[in-house]
Amino acid sequence: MWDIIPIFAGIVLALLPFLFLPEHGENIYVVHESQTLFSAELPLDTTLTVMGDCGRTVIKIDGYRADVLEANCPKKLCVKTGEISRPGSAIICVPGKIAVIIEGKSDQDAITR
Amino acid sequence: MQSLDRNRRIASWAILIAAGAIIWILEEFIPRPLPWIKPGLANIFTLVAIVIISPSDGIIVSMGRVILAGLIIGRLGSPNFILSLAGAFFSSISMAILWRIRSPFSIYGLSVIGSLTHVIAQLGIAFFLINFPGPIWLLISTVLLPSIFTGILIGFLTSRLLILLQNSRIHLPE
Repeated sequence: MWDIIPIFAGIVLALLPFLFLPEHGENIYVVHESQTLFSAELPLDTTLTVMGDCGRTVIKIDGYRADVLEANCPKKLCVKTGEISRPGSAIICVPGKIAVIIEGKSDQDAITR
Repeated sequence: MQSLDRNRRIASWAILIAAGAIIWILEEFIPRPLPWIKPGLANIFTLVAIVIISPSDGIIVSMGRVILAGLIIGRLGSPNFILSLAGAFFSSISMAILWRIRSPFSIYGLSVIGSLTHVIAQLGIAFFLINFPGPIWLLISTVLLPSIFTGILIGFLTSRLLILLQNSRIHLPE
């Protein structure tokens, strides 16, 4: 069955881009509504405390990874999101109007004002 | 080439181009989850032309179908039309060459290669035509994976149609 070859080649070609996905982002932004509260280049080791609409939000940045450790919002979805590291990923706290965004090199227009 | 054979050949082009154009236009009405995912049923007639007439006739049928369908729905010359034309051209040429050199692929393999070259050509042309912003290579997986399945489907339908044609009393041009 020679027909397996083009099918297999197509699948390999389709999955190829995933090998070239960048492992980590270049910049991190902490945004409240439309204001950027914090922006920095990665890697970075720090712990931030920002005030959102439901109070204190503690964000830990460890190398290329970011994580929301504490929040006062009712459902704590931002805490449950866990760690993010890929470019283009974000942790968003909807009631607190806080977003932690990691960006790569190519997507400078991800934040528009 | 004798006159009768030539007329038969032209008549077969007409039937296959008309059938391809009709199915291509009807296909536009099928709702689809993503705008670029389309079964490509018109490719059945390109494959039939390659197999029962000759490889070069397959290219003519494929190009003729795109131009006729473009004329009918008034899309001739639009970027969309250029994408269709490029896809049809490269897929029919690759299938015709593979059939001509008697490659070990069956109709299924040919059809999958045709649909893969179709989408790769379209992506390439789209890249140069509109200078798609951002990483276009990430689109490849969403385009290539469905095209493998539609290629297998078209291969199945074409082999069924070829069996039907062989069993029928229709006189095929040789």
